[in-house]
Amino acid sequence: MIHPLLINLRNLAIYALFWLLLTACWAGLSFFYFRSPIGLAITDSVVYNFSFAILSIGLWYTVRYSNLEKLNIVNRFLHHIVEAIIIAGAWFLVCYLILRTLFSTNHDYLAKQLASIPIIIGVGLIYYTVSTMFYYLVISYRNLQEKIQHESELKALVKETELSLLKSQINPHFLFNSLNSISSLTITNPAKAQEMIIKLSEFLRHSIGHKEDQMVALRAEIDQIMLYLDIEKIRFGERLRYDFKINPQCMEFLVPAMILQPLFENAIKHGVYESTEEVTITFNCQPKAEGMNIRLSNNFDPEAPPRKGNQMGIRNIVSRLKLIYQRDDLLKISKSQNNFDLEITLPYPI
Amino acid sequence: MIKAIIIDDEQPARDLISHYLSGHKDIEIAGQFADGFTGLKAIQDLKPDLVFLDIQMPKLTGFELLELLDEMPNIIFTTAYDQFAIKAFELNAVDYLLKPYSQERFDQALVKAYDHFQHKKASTEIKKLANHIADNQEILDRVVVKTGSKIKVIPVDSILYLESQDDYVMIYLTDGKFLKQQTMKYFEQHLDATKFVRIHRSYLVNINTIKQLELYEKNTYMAVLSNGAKLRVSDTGYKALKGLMKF
Repeated sequence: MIHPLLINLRNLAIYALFWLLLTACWAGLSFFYFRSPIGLAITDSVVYNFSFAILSIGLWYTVRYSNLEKLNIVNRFLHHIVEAIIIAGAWFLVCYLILRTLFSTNHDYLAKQLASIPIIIGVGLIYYTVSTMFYYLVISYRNLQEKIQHESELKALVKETELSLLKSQINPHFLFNSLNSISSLTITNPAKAQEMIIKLSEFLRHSIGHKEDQMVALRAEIDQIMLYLDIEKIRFGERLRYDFKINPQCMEFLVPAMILQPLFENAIKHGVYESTEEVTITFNCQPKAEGMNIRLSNNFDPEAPPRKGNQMGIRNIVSRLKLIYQRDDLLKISKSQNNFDLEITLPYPI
Repeated sequence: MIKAIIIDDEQPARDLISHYLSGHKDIEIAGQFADGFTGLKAIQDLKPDLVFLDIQMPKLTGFELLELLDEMPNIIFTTAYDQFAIKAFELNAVDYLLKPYSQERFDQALVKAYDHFQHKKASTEIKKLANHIADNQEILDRVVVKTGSKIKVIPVDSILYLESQDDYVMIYLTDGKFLKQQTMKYFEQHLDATKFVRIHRSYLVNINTIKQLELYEKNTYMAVLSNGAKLRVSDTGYKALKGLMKF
């Protein structure tokens, strides 16, 4: 956190003006009320107030420090009392030494100074309290601003994610092409047509039913993905292959619902749609100390002309992961000549 | 006998068409093909009377395939996407079947095909479908060209600029140039307008390749491209560039 007074010249100027005003008041008081000579009153006021003005700038760091340390309230209070006494005492001592060298012949004045030690120390304590409270105010104000901003960002993200999730739920072309395949199978292979209708229905039921903030066991996600792949396999036949290696320990791990489905859709869209050769999707899942490690990769036709793949699917997953786990380093993408690799680390549910 | 071929990348979809055709004894299936490349070659070699064509396929899409043909065959599109109906209509296709479709709907398309064999005319059915859909200008992400017997698929990002040459457009890349039978107006409408600017009557330039603008004569500029080519910039072209590149 940057010092609120040193952040710009304007704040520093206001601060200086405030202390000049205070200095004038102090000088005025000793001139009119205590009947000090004008020169003496001004010098005295300048020494005391200017020195505290400089001292007070440094107080910011002690406030910051105690704030960062997250001391409990009693400790913090004690800390400030001790600090206040030390600072007020030191402040008086230094000012007194300066004034004594300046007015070494004016014994009357110096005696008066020593007599008014309690008053000056008291003023020092008040100065200290006001400065410290000001800094606390600044810190809590900044924290509040930060929180408000963070919250509005989060809200925007939730909206965006919800919207793109709605859009990406069921791809109508997937549905129509699957229905066309079923239409064909009713003639060539009625038993398989029936099987496919059941699989498609199960797939749709799950897609429509889930809530996006739900956590489900990996097993449930895999079941859903299997349905999806089985349906696509009827369309694409030998062009689509898959290979799943899942450590049994991972099966009950809780994952956000529908987090993997869009990634498989992506693999099929960029792999199988664009290739006449066999495309293999491999899925690997291993437990890790921090949670679970998932690797998903597919080969693709390197000769296939680049299509502007909208990265909607992947971006959507990244923002959902960020929303759920407050981390944006969980998904890693790497692409080689003919292979697309995704690595996701899913932490233990919070 | 009517010679037909089926081009679709999904086996069940091809099976369905051949089944629907089994009742029509006057149509023979000369072949079935699973991607744009082999489909293109089949049309050139077999010269079918009727083509059942899917749009979304590996290698070449149905539309890209048609662009490469010198002569337009009679096409019945079969696809799950409704947004290409306008384009199909523009290409004077026989019909546009939306998957999944019934035997009746399929037979209707064949009736239109018989009609087409006599006199080429646009299908009213497609016209209706086309009118239903808002004219969403499709932005190209690649362009296909023929060089001799080879086919080249060019990602639009690798295009430096295009030059109009009568009924043709010359497409310039860093490693060569390709002629394509197409109008400048077409490319102006179908290339991303935030990347391609008509800087002159004859030139459409990828702005990412412009290295600098040189003052040529009073008030005329030359655009210097990354490959060293210098192109005249017209007044309107200069304004368009200024608007887009904000200088």
